[in-house]
Amino acid sequence: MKTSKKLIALLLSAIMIMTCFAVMNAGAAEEADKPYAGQTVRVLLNSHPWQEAIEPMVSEFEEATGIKVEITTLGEDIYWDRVNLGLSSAEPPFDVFMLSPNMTGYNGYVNGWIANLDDYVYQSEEYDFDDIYPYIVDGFRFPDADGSIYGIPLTMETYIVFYRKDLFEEQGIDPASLETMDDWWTALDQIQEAYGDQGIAPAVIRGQDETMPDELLAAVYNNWGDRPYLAQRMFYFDENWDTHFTDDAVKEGFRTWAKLLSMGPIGATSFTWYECVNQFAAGNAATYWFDASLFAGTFEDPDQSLVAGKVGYTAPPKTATGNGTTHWAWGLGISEASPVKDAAWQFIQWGTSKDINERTATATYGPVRASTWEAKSAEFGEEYCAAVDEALNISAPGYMYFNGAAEVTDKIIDAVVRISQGEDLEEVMAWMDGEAQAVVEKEGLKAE
Amino acid sequence: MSHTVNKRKLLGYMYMIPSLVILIVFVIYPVLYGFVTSMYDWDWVAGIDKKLFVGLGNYLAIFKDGLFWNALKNTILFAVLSLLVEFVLGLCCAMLLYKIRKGGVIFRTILIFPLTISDMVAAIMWRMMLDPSSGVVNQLLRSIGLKPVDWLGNSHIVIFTLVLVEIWWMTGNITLIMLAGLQSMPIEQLECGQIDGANGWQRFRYLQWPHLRSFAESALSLRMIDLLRVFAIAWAVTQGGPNRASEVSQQYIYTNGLGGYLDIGYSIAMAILFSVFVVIIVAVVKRIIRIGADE
Repeated sequence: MKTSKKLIALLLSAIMIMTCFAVMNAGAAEEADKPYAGQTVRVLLNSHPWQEAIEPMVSEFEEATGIKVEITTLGEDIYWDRVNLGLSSAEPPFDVFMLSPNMTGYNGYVNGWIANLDDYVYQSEEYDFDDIYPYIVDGFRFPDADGSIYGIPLTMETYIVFYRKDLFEEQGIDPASLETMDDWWTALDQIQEAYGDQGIAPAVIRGQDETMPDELLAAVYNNWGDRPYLAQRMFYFDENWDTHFTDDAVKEGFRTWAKLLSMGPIGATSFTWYECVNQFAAGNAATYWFDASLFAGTFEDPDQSLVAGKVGYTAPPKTATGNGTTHWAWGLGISEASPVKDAAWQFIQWGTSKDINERTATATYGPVRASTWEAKSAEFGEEYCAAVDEALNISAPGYMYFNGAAEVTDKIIDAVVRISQGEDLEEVMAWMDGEAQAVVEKEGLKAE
Repeated sequence: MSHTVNKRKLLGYMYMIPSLVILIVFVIYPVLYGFVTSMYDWDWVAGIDKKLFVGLGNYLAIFKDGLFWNALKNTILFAVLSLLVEFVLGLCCAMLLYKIRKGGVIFRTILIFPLTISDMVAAIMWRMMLDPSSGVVNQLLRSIGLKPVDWLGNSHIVIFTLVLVEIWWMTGNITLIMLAGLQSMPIEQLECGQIDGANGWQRFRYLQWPHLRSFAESALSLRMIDLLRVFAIAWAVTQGGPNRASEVSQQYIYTNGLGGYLDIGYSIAMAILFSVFVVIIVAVVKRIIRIGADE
């Protein structure tokens, strides 16, 4: 009896010890599996279709990694100021933030405020970084396309032309036959004639919008031909920082934009992309020019658009020098001062993974992975994919950054608005040339 | 005796210390820091660590900066127009509210309601209402057979658009101050005037206005300072456009600083110079009111 009691006690003790080991092992395995569990990553996002799509999925990341994610979302009108202010502080109030190839990124790079991601991108084979289009990644390299990576793209946009297929059909115009810009001008005149008194404008395009100069680069490049230019200074400045706003291609780009602006609905001068999208989605414009391909997602959504199923897409039409456009992107970066950089990278790696890129693609219409485009092309529609494909074939990165670029772009907005309001093109462009020259001289880029 | 007085004085100074510390930390130090910074070429795009002493260089550059003066001109135009309309409307509303015996609370609430809204909310609300295509204002104009107006995109109209928004938002402020002035006046004086045969205008001109003058001076000075410091309304309604026709000083200063060019030294120099202009303009407004009093 005593022996059996001892045996039972021994057995129970063995079971207890084994259970303890098992629990400890499981804990260790979990710890290895979730090395950053318990850390908190603060994420600052711009109000954007990607942000709307990703937010409901964040709990999956939290569950898989044990990392807590705190998201703050801001409208774009204040987003960049907050990023600048946050990055410049000793303790930025965010670890991960949405970044674009613009002055904020460049400024962050110059001041050492944003983290170099070179060592992270190839950590995981499964992540397959090379699946992300390299020409999109290049926009997040600083100081230039040969530099280090400071942001991982999550959506991209190329600048295309949107048009109302139903109106063109009603007017017997075959958009496929409109090959040149001149063809389009004739078609737009016909549209104006037919629908002007019905409140449908021939065109809509960004006006007084601080982001407009980014898109204007597409209109200028559409006239530039195959001449070389310096990335980051684009078509406006050469290697000596001499200005080229009186170049014929630049003038034609500005003239095109201003003419389209003057064809817009009442108040078009004050339109930002937001009003442009609303106007086109509400059926108040027959065409929408040189704007982000990803807006197709809004236009094809019957809940947001009255023109769903009626929209056609095309790359910018040919000019005397051929055709071209530009592209841009949104990405995610990490603040250099973040105390949880590795956990922050886990979030970026997850947010830009194949799975998430595919699951957010319907909302963004602008995935950045080749694999996602392959998987989603049927959903996006043949015409849209063809237009984006054609646009990307003739596209250049539309990124302009240097000390003083923000001031130059503000003057560009002034110039376009003045031309659209009837001022002489030559005079305005000569003024623009002088203003740009003054900025680069003031910034010490060019000796006076 | 003298010893006790000195001790009391010392105690008085000691009581001032907490306020003095707060004043130094939150007012004097930032102002001095700002003034010193304005003497530097401190451009964050070139590198936040690079600060180059330029003395009065930033101030001299402002005098050559046409856009600063354009913004100042827009600001003064906006402030003067808004102040005039707000004051006349505010005074009229106060007179009416003073006379109303029944339902005064309802009208007062309606007038005060816009004051409870933040400037940004008011601006965004009006931007939507003034949207040339879908805004309610143009829809109203269309419904009565008038042509829609390009409230936000016409450079000749846009400053008046901002004045319109401002008047809607802040007229109640003047009304409240002037109403308080009217209500603080002894009713007997008005009754005497009435008995002596003074008509409505004479009662206002010779009895009520002299009493209201000090209230008007406070209201006008405070409102003028506020109006000159306009930012959110211009920023959110028109973004300063088109072609800088509605760009105001604070907006231009912000754009040169954290809101765009990150040229911190230059933007602070502009902010300091702008503050000097605000003080001068408000002093002029006060002087104008006093000239009336001296007559």
